[in-house]
Amino acid sequence: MMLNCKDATRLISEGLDHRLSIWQRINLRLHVMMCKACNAYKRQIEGLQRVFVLLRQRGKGVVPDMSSDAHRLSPVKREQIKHLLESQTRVDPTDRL
Amino acid sequence: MEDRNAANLASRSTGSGGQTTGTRAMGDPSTWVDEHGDALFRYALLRIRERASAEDVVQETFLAAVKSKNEFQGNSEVRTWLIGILRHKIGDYFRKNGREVQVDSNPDDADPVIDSWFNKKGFWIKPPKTWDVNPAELAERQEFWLVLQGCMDALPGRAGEAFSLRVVDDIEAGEVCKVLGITTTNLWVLLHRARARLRACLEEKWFGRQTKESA
Repeated sequence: MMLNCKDATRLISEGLDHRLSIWQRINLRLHVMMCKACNAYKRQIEGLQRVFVLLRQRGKGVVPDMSSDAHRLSPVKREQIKHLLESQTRVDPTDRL
Repeated sequence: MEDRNAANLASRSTGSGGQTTGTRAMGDPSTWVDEHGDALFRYALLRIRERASAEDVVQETFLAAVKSKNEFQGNSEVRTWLIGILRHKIGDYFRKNGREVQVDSNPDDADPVIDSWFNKKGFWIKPPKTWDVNPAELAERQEFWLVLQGCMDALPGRAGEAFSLRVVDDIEAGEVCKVLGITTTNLWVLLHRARARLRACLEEKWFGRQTKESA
């Protein structure tokens, strides 16, 4: 059975998340061979995935150094939370003995 | 109840000289903020979309975590556990502010946006263009990162969460499913939706402008 493009795009994504069944792989390969648009799509999706792997490797967890501070805790808040946590772990003086 | 938790906590930390080495795999709370703070913040920002409130919710999360440390079961990652607490705190935040807790695109339902890209027979109406993708080069470019961030921010709720946890933060699929309370199949659907939309967004916002340059 031939896949249509909509199914193909779904399988292209799923192929990044788990191993497709043999029939899925064969059908997808046939479709992508014949369909220029899905071929382009596949390269894009795989390229994107690769971009995230690279970003992760570099930034160790998500946002690379170059990322904007907009997506990180602000230094002030960071210190504030640390301070609070510290005071929390020191709470109970009766337990000090 | 809380007192006893606190006492346990204190005895544990004084017992090992301020370190919590006795606790399996959960690390020292003093390092949590550096290790997980940004990831939690991004997650909170994704849902709350307002910086100061997102930061406050993250703070509450860490405080609650430290108080309920003893409930941490070694069977999930610390980050997953923290995200679980964070999700509750986000729920509280929405309730307190009279915002509906977001129940969006059910993975089992069709996605009208993606459907609109295909005709009745499931073939492309507006086929993707050929991009000149060089991942290594893209990953180096700050302008690209900013556009990508913008596109990620525009992802719908659950697809955005799934993508952010699984692909951006590289949390294991099983853990992501636990955190989001979904099945593996749901996760694949959500990731597909996220990728498809990111692709479309990038084609419009980045590659649409770049083609001239790269041609």
